[in-house]
Formats: sequence, structure tokens, C-alpha cells
Amino acid sequence: MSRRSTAISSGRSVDSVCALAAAVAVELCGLRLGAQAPPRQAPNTPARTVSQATDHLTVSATLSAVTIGPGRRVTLTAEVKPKTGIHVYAPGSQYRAVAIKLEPQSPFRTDAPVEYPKPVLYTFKPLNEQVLVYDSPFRLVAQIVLDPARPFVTPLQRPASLALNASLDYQACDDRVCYLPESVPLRWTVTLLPTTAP
Amino acid sequence: MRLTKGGLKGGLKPALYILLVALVAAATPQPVTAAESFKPFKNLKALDGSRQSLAGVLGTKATLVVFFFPTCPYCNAAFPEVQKIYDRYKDQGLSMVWINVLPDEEKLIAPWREQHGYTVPVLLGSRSVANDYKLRTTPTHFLLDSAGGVISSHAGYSAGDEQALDRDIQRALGR
Repeated sequence: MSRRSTAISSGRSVDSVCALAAAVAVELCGLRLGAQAPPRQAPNTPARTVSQATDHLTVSATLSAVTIGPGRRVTLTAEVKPKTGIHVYAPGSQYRAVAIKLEPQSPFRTDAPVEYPKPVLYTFKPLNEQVLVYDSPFRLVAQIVLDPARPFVTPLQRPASLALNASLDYQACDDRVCYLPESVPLRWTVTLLPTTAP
Repeated sequence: MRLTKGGLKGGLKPALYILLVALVAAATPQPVTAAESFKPFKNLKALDGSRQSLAGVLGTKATLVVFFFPTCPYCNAAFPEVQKIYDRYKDQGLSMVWINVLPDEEKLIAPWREQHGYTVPVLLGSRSVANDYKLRTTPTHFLLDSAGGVISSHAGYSAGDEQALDRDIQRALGR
């Protein structure tokens, strides 16, 4: 009861506490949002680069274009930076390899195998086996086209927006534990140009 | 609601008090006690198609629940030793179950078990298992008493961890 009375009689100091709490909260939220936010873009310009951070790595993925004409492909380039002490598995190992994947119902498809850099050999001591991994920054490149087998792809009379939803899938380990596999969403809105001039 | 010389006024104050309390609470570590209960699972599918609940797999003295998936490197390092522990104590009141946490690897389990000669019963977890048990790594195990209370838990595997696990199990079995 006495604490409540004090709070009422000294409103200004309580307000100061409130303001401080608000400032701290805004600062915390701002920092957290800032860590996840994509780079600034000019107004009305679709973002070409999306950035994400997980406990194990950061990925910055860029589309070569967000406006696509008929029959044109776009290049998705993912710059991946494993955190210190972390490795992810490369194709050719018996474990879950890092991969760029399109959503199962995506109107897009990859036009060629994803390009991977040369991995390094890592000795997994508990089983005394050598596995192919990436433990330093690396780049994956995927060529993406509209999938003509999808019902969406019909002749367009005017530009249309379409979601290009992909993910970076990986399993990360360090020298003590393996983390559960992760799927990091990479999402864009692209503009499809008409198949014929309007 | 407006900002005045005196500070923030109006309906924002209660919200800020709540926010402040929430921030303090979030920053305070929650103690983990050995007696905490293990969230009982229900209706998990076994490899033979039957359905199992925690109550149905509890041992008379202790139960080891291990979360895994077949291509988990450290699970593959640990499980030969864990299987030996199961063989050693299964007739002395220890029950054991391995719960797969990646549904997309379910098809790998039967051949993987056969290849390694594992006989520990396996249950098939749903996509929510990782969240339900706040799993970040595999293998993660929980050693439970006969009532389902947590005696100990451990995440990851390093050579020699099986010795600590063996000691915990011996204590749980009253040896």
C-alpha cells in the first residue's frame, strides 16, 4: 500500500521511469528489428537482396533482377557466412547438405544444378570419418526460371506480381554438437512482364 | 496519450509497467530442478504402427528418452554406446525409447536400425516435437524416474559421456 501511495504522489519520477523503460524497449526492439531487416531500398523499389541471421550463420541472398520478362532467367546468389567454429555439410557427404530450395508449389524452378564451391575435408573425430563441409564464407548460385508446367504461367496482358519463395536449408555442427536442421526463408516479390507488349 | 514535460501520460503507463516487468522477468534465469516433470507425449507412432504414450513406455525404475534423427552425426557417434547401456540394464528396470525429430527421415530409420543392429524401440515424432521439448541439438536425452520426473538431461555427445550416463542410470536403478 505504501509503495502504491508513493507512486501516486511522485508522478514525475514514475513518468521518468516509464520513459526510460519505453526508451529501453524501443532501443531493444529497434536493434532486434534492425538485425533482421533487409537493406534499405529506394521507395517502391522491390528488394533484390534479403538478409537473414540464425544462431549458426548469416545469409545474404540477391536476385539478379526482380523484373522478369518471358523466358528470362534470374540468378539467385546466396552469400553464406558460417559463424566461428560452425560448419555446414556439403553435397557428397552422407549428412544433410546445405541447399537452396524453392517452395514445392513454386511457379519457379531451378534451370540448372545449384553451383557449389569446393568444400573442405573435416575430420569428425567421434567417428573418425572425413566429411565434406563449408566452415568459412561461401557462395551458392542458382539459376531460376518460370516453370512452364505451372498453371500460373499463362500469357500476361500486363505486369503481374509473383512471390518467389525459396529457402536455404542446412544442418550446422560445431566440434561438440550438431544443431537441428534449419530452413531459412528467402522471399521476394518479382514483377512478371507481359508476354506481349500492352 | 501524449508526451508531456512530465513524461508519458494516459493509457501507456500500465502498458509500460507490464513491459518493464516482462523485461526483468525475461532477463531472470529460471532455475531447472531435477524434479521437474517431462512433458508426457501421447499417441506417437512406433515403427510397427502401434501408438505409444509416455505412460506406456515408462520403466519400473527409470526411462531414458533420447531425441535423434538418423543422419545426425553425433547421434551416430553416441548410439552404439547407448545401445550397450540398454542391453546392460533393460532387464533391471530400465526402459529406453528413441524419438525421431525429423519426419522427413522416417523412411531411413528401419534400414538404419538394421544396419547398426539397434534394438532400442523407436518412436516417430511430429514436427512439433522439437518445440515441445525446446530441442536445439541432437542427441538430447532425458533420464526419467518411474513417475516420469526428470532425473537428468543432456544435449550433444562427447566421447566419455556414456560413462556419466551409465552412472546416472545405475543410481536411478538403485545399484
